[in-house]
Amino acid sequence: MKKLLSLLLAVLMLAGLTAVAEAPAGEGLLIGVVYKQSGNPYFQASVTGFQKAADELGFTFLHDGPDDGSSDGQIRIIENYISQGVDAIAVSANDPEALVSVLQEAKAAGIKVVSWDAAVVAAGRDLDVQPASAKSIGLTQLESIAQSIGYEGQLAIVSATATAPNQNLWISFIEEALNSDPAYANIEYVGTVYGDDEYTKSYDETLGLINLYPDLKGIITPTTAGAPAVAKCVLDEGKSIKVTGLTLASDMAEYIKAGVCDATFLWNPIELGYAASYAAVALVNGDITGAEGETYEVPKLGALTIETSTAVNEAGELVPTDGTISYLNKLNAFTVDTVDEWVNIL
Amino acid sequence: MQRPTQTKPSLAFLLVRYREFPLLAVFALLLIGVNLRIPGYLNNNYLNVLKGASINMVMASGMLLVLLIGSIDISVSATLALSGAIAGMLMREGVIDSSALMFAAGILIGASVGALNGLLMSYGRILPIIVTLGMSYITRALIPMDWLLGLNKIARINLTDGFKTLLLDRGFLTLPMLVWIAAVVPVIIGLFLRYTRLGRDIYAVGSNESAARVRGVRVERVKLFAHTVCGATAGLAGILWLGYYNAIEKSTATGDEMFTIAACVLGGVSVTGGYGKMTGVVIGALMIATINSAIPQLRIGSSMITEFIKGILLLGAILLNVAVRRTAGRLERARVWGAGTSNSGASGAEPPAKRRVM
Amino acid sequence: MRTVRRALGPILRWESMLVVLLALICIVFNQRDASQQAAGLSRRDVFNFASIIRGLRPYMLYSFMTLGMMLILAMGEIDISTGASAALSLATLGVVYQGLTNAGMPNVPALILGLACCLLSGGICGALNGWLVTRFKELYSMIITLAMQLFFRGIAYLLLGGGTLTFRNDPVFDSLKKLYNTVAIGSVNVPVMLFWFAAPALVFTVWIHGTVSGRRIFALGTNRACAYFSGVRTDSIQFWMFALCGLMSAVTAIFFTGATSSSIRADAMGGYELYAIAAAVLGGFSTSGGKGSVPGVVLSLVIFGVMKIGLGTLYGFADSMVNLSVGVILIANTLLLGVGRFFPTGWGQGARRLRIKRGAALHPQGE
Repeated sequence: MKKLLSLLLAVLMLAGLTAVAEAPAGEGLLIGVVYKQSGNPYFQASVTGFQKAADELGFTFLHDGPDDGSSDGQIRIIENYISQGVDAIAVSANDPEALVSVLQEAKAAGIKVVSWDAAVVAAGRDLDVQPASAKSIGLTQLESIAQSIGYEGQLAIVSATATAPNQNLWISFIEEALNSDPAYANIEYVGTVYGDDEYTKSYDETLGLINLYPDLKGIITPTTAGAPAVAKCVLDEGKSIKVTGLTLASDMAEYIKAGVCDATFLWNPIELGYAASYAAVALVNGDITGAEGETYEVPKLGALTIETSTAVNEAGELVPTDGTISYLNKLNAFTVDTVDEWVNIL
Repeated sequence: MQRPTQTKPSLAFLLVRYREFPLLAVFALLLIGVNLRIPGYLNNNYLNVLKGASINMVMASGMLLVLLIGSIDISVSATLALSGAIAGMLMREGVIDSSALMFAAGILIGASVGALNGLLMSYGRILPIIVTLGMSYITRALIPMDWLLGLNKIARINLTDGFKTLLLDRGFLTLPMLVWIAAVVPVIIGLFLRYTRLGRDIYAVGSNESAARVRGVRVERVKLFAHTVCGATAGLAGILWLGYYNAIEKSTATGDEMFTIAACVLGGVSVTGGYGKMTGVVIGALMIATINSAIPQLRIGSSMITEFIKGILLLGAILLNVAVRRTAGRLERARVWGAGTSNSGASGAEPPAKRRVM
Repeated sequence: MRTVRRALGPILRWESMLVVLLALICIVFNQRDASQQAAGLSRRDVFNFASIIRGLRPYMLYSFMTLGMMLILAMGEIDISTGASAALSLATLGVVYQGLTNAGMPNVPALILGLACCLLSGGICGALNGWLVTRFKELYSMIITLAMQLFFRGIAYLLLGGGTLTFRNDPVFDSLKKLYNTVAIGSVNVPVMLFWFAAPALVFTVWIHGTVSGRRIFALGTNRACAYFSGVRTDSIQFWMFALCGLMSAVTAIFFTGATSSSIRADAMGGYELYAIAAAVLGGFSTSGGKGSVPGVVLSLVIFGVMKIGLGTLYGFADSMVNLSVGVILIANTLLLGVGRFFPTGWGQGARRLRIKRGAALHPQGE
């Protein structure tokens, strides 16, 4: 009986496999991928994710980003994709508003639009794919730094630009937890400075912080571009300040090993690109429409549910907004033990 | 030529001629001001100011030559990124493993970009702004990490241990190597300008090109030389950047050419050529580094103000220079004509300002 | 030889070279398109008349700025602050509109006032450049506008506080998006911007080639001293041309608002001055002044657009390579214009002009 059952199972699985092999869901589709800026290793990694999905699903994809990280550069690229007749566009937007006109035209031409990593506003997209909810990103970093500094001492944040929406949302959750959670009662939050994602600026701002607050214990730097500058500055100054944040492994391996950072975090941009491809293919095939409550299956990540998007209102609260979103809800921690595996990937 | 002995130079004339000393006073005032706002600023930051000034100072020494011949190079920051990126790539791939070779490679790459600029500008007779503007775009697009290695960034991990720490380790007199290099380059170029024939030719070409040509100066070669040196210092700056920040990417140092030009102009270098001293450039670079390092600590409003301050600074310095030159011209004329001699343009003093009347 | 050249004169104009160049580019791209389709590498005909006309849209944003830049180049000056003054005008538009609507003004007059302020601030930026250039004659316009560029962008940053200003769900402000629409004429979607561009292009053609005041600009660029002594008010012309160039940058800013769905940022239009200079120079406006024609500029704008579309869609060139090609074209073309004696822009003339300038400078005639 047991044998028969296992045989049956095997046959069923085989049937399932051949069914998949017969009709890869994305066969013959053309997807245009737009990222923020060419020459950014983060997006290079995401492209690997798109490639992986393309190998599995059988679609082909084009990818490009503007040289100067500008919105009009992205518009040029999208216009080129439209004239090439792509089936879907997956975009990480430099500006949530700027691409709406051109993306609406794409949608009118029957092209499905998925935004990933950095969203476009609801009018310009069918679905947004994000790595993790803002709350979990903010709190993961806070908890990590709190552990590093023993839940007491001065804490500062070195962010990207003063208006970066992602960073501001994460910081709002960090601030909220610092104010309300008794576990963090002994941590004194001294404020946020902005390094504008520039190396020298971040370095100088960190230096300013260290000089201003000689007793500083920890720094959170929720931006990949600023993190190496912050860690380098702390290392150069020889202070016993702990740093955590969202970083690339290759940038931070040195500092993690030098003990400046106990752990840093990042979602996996490969998985992000991978999931965005599956979402795009599902949208094109009509498996999902991008409405709330639908789910789509991504191998290794499971079924991802589509939820209503949220945003921060003037009072600093998270409220539902237009558009839908799906979260991968997965963060990678880079520690002394794991960072080496990631060095060549991120 | 002998200076007429019967007229003593007036104080105003001396101030104009030795513009660097009032500049030094302004710099001292700036330091005192910042120190009052941020107690202990200088004590905590003197090394950071020196380190922050170093890369700019190296580039500004090269820029001085280019400005002296009445040209300009706004591709230096792109050259910096290119040389840092290529040298970093070579180190990552194991082609280069010694720091000395890194410096050689950087200078070589920079010098070739500069030489190309110089060729196009002097022999091709294209406006320097067009050449270098175009070149800065070309150079940035050529930064090969992404299309060659799919890498897009040289990080700390790509560098050898020796090179990583070379520039920042405290060395002679407890100052890091970076600062020493930044001190040596201006000294060499300054001495060169003062004591060699080619150095004097550079001043000659800048103050009066046709006169220099008549006198037998090979103007095109001098221009080519100045641009090549400027490129070479930018290339060297790329290696310094890599050694200091341990990271180079495609957009590294975008817009920093303005700091370089500003350092020169603040230091009293005339943008129309022919006048400028290395001491001024050094003080100018130090002033800019002080401002850069002080603004975040001063907490004046948003960080957006830096761009604005940069613009004001550059424009103010340029216009001030013009005013000084006009005064110099007037004083010189009044002095010479007042004394009733026909001596004009005595050695060391700058010629009267070139003015178009139309 | 001279008779041959005279007979061939009308053909050997720079503009006819541009037409040949455009035709060549189109033929090459068309071949590539056909072969790609035949090989099944692309799924549709991406290079045809309709797709080019439609695709020209993003490359037309800086066309207005190019018209302004062309005037500056005709005088033998240069303005590299146009991108920044456009960004400042853009910021002014946003800030004024926001301020007025917040103060309770109805949206439509607020938008009209905002647009007026936008144009005004562009004009002021240009006038400021012009004033400095005419007042401080020792300085090249290059260095003045280089410094002003930082200054303008700095003010734009201060106005916007480093942030992005958007007017989401504001139908009145969003009507600016219509500037970036296309209208269907037959089977071709023609960008509205083409019509908007046609108007100033026509006016400029008639003005600078057909009227006395227009020719004075070229006279000024060919030989400043000669123009001055013939009674041309060189300073006044220079001032107004810079102001006009600033105004055209502000016009660019308005269309840019339409293209980017009304999102207003201080870092907008970075590098547009390079595109404008490159397009004007390819159009025949030599940087030493006194040369060039509006039809040439229009042709060169089309060439740049077609080339970028083709390189992107047919050859898969990354966006970064587009900047590379602009830089190469700019330098190569300036070289060609400077060295080629065949076209009516020999460098001998430029060199003569330089000598005259230097000569005039050597003998300052009073303060």
